[in-house]
Amino acid sequence: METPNVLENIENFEINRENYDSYNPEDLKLKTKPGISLDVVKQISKDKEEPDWMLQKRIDGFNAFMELKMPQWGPSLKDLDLSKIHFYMKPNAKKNSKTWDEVPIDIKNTFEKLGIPEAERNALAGVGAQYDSEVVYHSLKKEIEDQGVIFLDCDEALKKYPELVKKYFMTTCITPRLHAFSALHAAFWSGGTFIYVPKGVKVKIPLQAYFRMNAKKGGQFEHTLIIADEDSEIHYIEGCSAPQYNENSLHAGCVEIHILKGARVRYSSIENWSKNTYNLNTKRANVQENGIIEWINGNLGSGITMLYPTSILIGENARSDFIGIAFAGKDQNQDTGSKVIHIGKNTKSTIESKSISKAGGITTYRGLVSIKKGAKNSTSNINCDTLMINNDSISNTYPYMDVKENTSEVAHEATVGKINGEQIFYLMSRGLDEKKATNMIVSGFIEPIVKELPLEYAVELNRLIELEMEGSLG
Amino acid sequence: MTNRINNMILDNFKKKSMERIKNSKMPEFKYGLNILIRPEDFELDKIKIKQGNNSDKKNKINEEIKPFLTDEWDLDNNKVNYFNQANLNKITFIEIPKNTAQKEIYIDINTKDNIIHYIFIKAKENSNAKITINKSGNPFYASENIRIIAEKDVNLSILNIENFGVKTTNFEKRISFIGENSKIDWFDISIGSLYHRAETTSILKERNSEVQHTVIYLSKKEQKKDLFSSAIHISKETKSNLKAKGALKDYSKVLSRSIIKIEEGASDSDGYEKQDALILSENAEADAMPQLEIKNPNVKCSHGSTIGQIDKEKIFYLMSRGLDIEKAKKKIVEGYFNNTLEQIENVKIREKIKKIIGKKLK
Repeated sequence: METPNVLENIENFEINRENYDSYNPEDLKLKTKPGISLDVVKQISKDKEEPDWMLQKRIDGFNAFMELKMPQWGPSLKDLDLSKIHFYMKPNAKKNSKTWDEVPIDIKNTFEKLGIPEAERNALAGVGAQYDSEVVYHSLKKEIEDQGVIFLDCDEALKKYPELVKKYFMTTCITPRLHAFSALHAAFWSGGTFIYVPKGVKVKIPLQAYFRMNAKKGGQFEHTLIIADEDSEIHYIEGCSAPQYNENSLHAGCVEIHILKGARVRYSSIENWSKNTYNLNTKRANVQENGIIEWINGNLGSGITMLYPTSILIGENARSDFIGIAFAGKDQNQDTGSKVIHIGKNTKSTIESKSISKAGGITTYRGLVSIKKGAKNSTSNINCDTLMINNDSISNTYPYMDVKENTSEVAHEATVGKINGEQIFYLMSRGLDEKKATNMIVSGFIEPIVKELPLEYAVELNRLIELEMEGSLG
Repeated sequence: MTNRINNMILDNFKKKSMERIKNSKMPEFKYGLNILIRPEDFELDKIKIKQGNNSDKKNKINEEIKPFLTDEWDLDNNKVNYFNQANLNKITFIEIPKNTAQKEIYIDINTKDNIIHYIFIKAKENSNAKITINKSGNPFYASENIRIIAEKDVNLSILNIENFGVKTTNFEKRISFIGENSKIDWFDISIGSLYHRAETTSILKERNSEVQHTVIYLSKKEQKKDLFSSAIHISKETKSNLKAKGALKDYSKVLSRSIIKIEEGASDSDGYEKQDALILSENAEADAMPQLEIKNPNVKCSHGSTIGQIDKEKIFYLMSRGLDIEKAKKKIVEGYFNNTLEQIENVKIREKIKKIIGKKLK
């Protein structure tokens, strides 16, 4: 069916990033020289007054990075020049302020614009806000703290709970040698979140961290470590953004989640880095008996994203649910998906991935489901849908299914299509204008993901997509 | 005189391929993470190919084979492919003349000796043919390479039955260029060989061209199969449908891969991939990689795959009807294959295949 006008209009939209792309003048206490070197590694560790074992871990990571190869697949990283990136930038602000008034005004305004303090007042149990390499604000509601929940920035946790951190930090979940960027992360990590939920404690309101890169040519390597003890429950939300510069910046965070027997963790992340950012993030969860991990993953920003949240279903009846949405506009390459390794008996996983590509953007679903020998009666369901908006957009789907257990069931499905002109005309014939009709179709497409987000985030995501569509009518 | 010239064409082709062996790479036999489908103890140097008369008795080598020996067919050739080109010892050339209403062709290969067979098919305008290839015997090494040029308004069905003995290492490679309004319908049955690797590439070159590819496989004991089919949509209104369906027993291992590539100019195209595997034994392993690469959004593409075991309820149902568990399983697997096998029009061949599958399932 011919639908020239409508589709031409959609092609013209651009994301409104006003709130995300503006930046503050640099005001840093410490900025290491650009590039990687063992000296920088030692300098970071010294500045943070870390124990020897952590310095050793950093050095091991550095050595591993020198040995490991860059990924030989996926988007090209040839324009990522590590020698130009500043690996550690300590903002000129008090660490872990308990009230927003203690946060320097320009930084506070940035987070204010991003809506963090407001969300905190309305819907969150605790908030951490990281600016470049350090966490500038951190607070946790008293009633949650009283239940024994620990919510700190990762540097602080290392000081206060060294044994707990030593046991779980890059040991059995993400190892420094997993790949080049986990090695780089081990060497240069700074800030991030540490959460410990004690046995049987169920935290009903979400905790949130917001990561903001402000400095030019920066690298942010925050480390998130979540330990959900037996039969506990927690929902953690992460948001990320950075201003738009001409120079490239790098985000190579790590998220490690340990889900002990019967615990349940929901991890939601809405990433909206600017397009000059390389988002090469590693997220992994070890799930023990009857444990549940739920990944909700939104990738809207970054020039190049390579992100594949991974669940290792170790214990019997462990479960992983992944819901992902990726949006690739002009000059964006979103290479995302999910990996699940089934080891325990009766383990279950679902993967639901939605992607939208427009104006030459590339979206790729790349995933793996591996059912190991012994993972009896395990099941996995994978669903990928893609919406392509312009003629020059690209969509790829690369699923891998590796089954070594005959009592298991794996099913995969995918569809790729364009916004259907007929649907738009149908809605227009019912009295909607073009803009509303298009919005409605896109909203319907991403609905399964939006409905899993807390209300504020659902509104935010819908608003972002609507803003894009608004531009489309320009 | 002509013959000598044509032998020279072939000799040059072999010589050129021989030179390319050195600088080419061995296939890795490794996919994704930890997926390894490798022929055991496989060394090209140890394979002896008897060189006899290059021409098939019925098909003299003539000028017509020239377009089948160009570099256009050199799609990601690896060391094994060049080895095959350099050492080929059998050529079958089939030309289907213009306006052929219906032609049936049978190729029967039953050999104890190593064989590298090249089949060149030229289907001219408005021709219609059914080709059946039946392979059996116990060679140590076998390789079948099919190259097809389908002109305009061609309708070609190829039924390919691979039933080599369980010691054979078998490499197959098929490439077809499909012209306007033409359709190729592949139907593969793969039940033999210790190691079987089949790569099928269909280039949908002109408007409204189409490929249908159906693979049925059954693997047993230590059999390994690496099945790959790709459809490259270049022109408008092209269609592809790539399906693989199989069952695995004992220690066997199967990887089925397929890819649909929609190039920028291929608007209004349809692509569909489906891979189903039924794992019948505890130690069998199945891997699936259905892939899509889409550069034009004005298309309909989807894929699906399932890897699983026999539905227990079905077994219980049949057992409640008096069958023992083994017979019930056999019945279900036969049923699983039968609705696909019904597509084979030739009743004699269809019943023969069902019989072979029934025997293998015991």
